[in-house]
Amino acid sequence: MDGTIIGQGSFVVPATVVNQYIKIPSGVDWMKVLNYTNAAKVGGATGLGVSYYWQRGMAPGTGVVNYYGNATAVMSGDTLVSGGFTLYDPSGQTAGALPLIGNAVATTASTNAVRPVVSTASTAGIVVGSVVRMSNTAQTDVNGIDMVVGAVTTNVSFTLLTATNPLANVPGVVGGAGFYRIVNTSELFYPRRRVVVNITNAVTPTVSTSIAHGMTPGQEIRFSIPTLVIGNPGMIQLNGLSAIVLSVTDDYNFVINIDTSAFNTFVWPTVAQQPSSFPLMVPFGEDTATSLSTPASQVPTIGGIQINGTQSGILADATVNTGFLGMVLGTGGVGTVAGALAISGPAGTAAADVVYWVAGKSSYGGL
Amino acid sequence: MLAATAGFINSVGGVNGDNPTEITRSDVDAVVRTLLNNNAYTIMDNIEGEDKFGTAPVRDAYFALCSTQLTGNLDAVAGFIQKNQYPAPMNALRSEWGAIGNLRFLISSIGSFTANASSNGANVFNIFCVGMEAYACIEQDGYSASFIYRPPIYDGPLALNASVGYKFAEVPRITNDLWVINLRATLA
Repeated sequence: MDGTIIGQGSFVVPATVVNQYIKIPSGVDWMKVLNYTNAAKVGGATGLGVSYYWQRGMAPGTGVVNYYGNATAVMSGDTLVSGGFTLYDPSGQTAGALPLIGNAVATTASTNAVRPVVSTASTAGIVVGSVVRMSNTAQTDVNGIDMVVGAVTTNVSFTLLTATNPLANVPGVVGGAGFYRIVNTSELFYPRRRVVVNITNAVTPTVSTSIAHGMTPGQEIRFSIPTLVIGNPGMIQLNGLSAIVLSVTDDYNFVINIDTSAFNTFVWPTVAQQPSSFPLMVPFGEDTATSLSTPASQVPTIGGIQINGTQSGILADATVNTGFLGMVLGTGGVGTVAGALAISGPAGTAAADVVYWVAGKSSYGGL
Repeated sequence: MLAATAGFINSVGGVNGDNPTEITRSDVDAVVRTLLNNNAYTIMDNIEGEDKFGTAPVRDAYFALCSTQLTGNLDAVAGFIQKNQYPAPMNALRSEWGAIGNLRFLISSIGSFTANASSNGANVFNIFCVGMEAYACIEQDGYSASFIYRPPIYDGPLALNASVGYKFAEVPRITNDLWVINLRATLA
């Protein structure tokens, strides 16, 4: 019948099992996933998920699963409590989809360090590389700023920022109780403005951002360094200047062409300097000669994966909408019946698993 | 696109104890000063003063695009001129709320905000202050957007199902990053 849309695809599980984001431009009413690798195995210590099914009307994160139990070739059925299927819509307009930002979770303390360690009784949903947004802590210069998580101790603490992009200086006080929220989506459009947490004093300095920047060599950026009315003003000589990205060190660092050797030392605004604006880098164009000199690097990536919708090559700096409709395949969890026995999710069980999926948009019917 | 790319300035002149604070006159002045220093052209001409009770002349102005949630806070800013106080209110735009200094505020119920992004976890409202030709929309295939409706007769012999869909062939682009500033503010 006209109006029915069916799509299909496959993926290979990377070295670490992580959530898989499947693009389904038409939207999706139902989805089946088959772990081709697991289908040829018998059970292990963990329930090996083989086939999964989700249909609109089922709760986010859930799904029906068929799996091999402990060392048995007998197939069992169950429903996933979490780690199953979740709709993805970064515009925030789909009911039941992955929320743009998670619920507030209480924290008990944050250390006064360039990589604050945040204590909390629940780290659910946080992995290294997640982005979190703090609020209501005494560290008012950290609150409200999206920061990548560099380390996690399950249900004890997590560390803001990574070893390569710490704050230029400590926030100024120990953070007391507060909240964190997991930020699930970035701004829709690329290239994106980013908060700068440090800039070195060097002939070709390194710029560090609080979350992944996605820049490519040759892109031009302009700095906005706030005028701090109290205390050390920081690297104000850089305010308003434009720079060319010479090279990308990693997801959180890149090298620019402005000699900052004689500039003031960069300062991350401290608690004593709040309220304030924050140091920014704003992308605005591209230096073609630099881009042409590094053709192999002209792919905007985060975590080694090209940002959706972005251009490669000389147009890597093009303004594009990175959003897409789709499904988040989870990594699994406990089943309703299986209880403590964890069942692997539709995102796969182990590296190199081959997973097939088929998804559809129905033409009639309801929930 | 503006929310993703434009540089921002936090409102810091308020007293609500948050960061950013509520919008104040000093924050508006900081934005206007920055746009002037960056040689941004104003979009709207001035509205000349007239001999009418309760009115005030309006300066030539940049546009400030923001959420309807901010209306009460705008009313409280020093120097705010309601559009019904313009000497010639017919010169105001339908979506216009009023003017502060060299900014004329256009409001929308779907104005941009960033959820839970303030120091105290409140929503942060993005006020895009733009000069002339600061950004543009480029139509890539001779049209900007199409809303396509197919009546049931195209569905099948029984004409049971209609369909609607849309497609875009345009891209927004900041033409000069110096001429657009996102003034961020929380509610008082």
